[in-house]
Amino acid sequence: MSTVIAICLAMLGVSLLLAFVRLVRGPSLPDRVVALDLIAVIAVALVIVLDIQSNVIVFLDAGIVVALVGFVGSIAFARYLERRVL
Amino acid sequence: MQIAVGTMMIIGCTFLLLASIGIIRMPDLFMRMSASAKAGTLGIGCMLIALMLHFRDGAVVTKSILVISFFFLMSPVAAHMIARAGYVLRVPLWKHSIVDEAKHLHAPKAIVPEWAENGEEGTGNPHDPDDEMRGMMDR
Repeated sequence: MSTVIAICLAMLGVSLLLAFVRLVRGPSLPDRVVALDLIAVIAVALVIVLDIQSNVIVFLDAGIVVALVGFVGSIAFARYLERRVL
Repeated sequence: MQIAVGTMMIIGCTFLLLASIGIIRMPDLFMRMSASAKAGTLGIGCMLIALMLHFRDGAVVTKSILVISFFFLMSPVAAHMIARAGYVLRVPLWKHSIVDEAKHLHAPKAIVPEWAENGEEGTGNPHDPDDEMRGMMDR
């Protein structure tokens, strides 16, 4: 089981790095917003892996909060891009 | 049961890795967003199923179903809003993409003269002046 957790952490780290590369060199602002959205999703997945590794349930609440804040943030970004006001 | 948990975790992480590979390899904002939204949602769903199988507890199953339904509801909404904002801002399409069904909503009127308006419907030409215009107009 620890091998599976190590493999999952490695894959999630690589995907976080790739999303961060797109966040840095995305040619337009919506590209960066999409990369931030994916980073929030990967953060929730990392919280779930930590949850399974340490047998503690309460980290899932932190994952729920990260998911909520990520989606509200991306929707607010899209609204701002479209109307230029908040 | 541990084997099922490990399998679902590997599947979910693979989908998330595919989402980020898609977000870095796709040539266009809209293709990037398609890859990110669909593969990301599926990957996080598999991870939450693994969490449910690992704990098998009432509270964890309830919270996991809550998070899964939240992702399945809110991810398409966020992707649609970002896509509409990008299209309104005229983020350039990929140069080989042919179909642009909402082109008449945002194309500048001065490009098509009056006499040519009837004959040039839907040629699918990638060297359309509208597309060239959209490619040149950076924000």
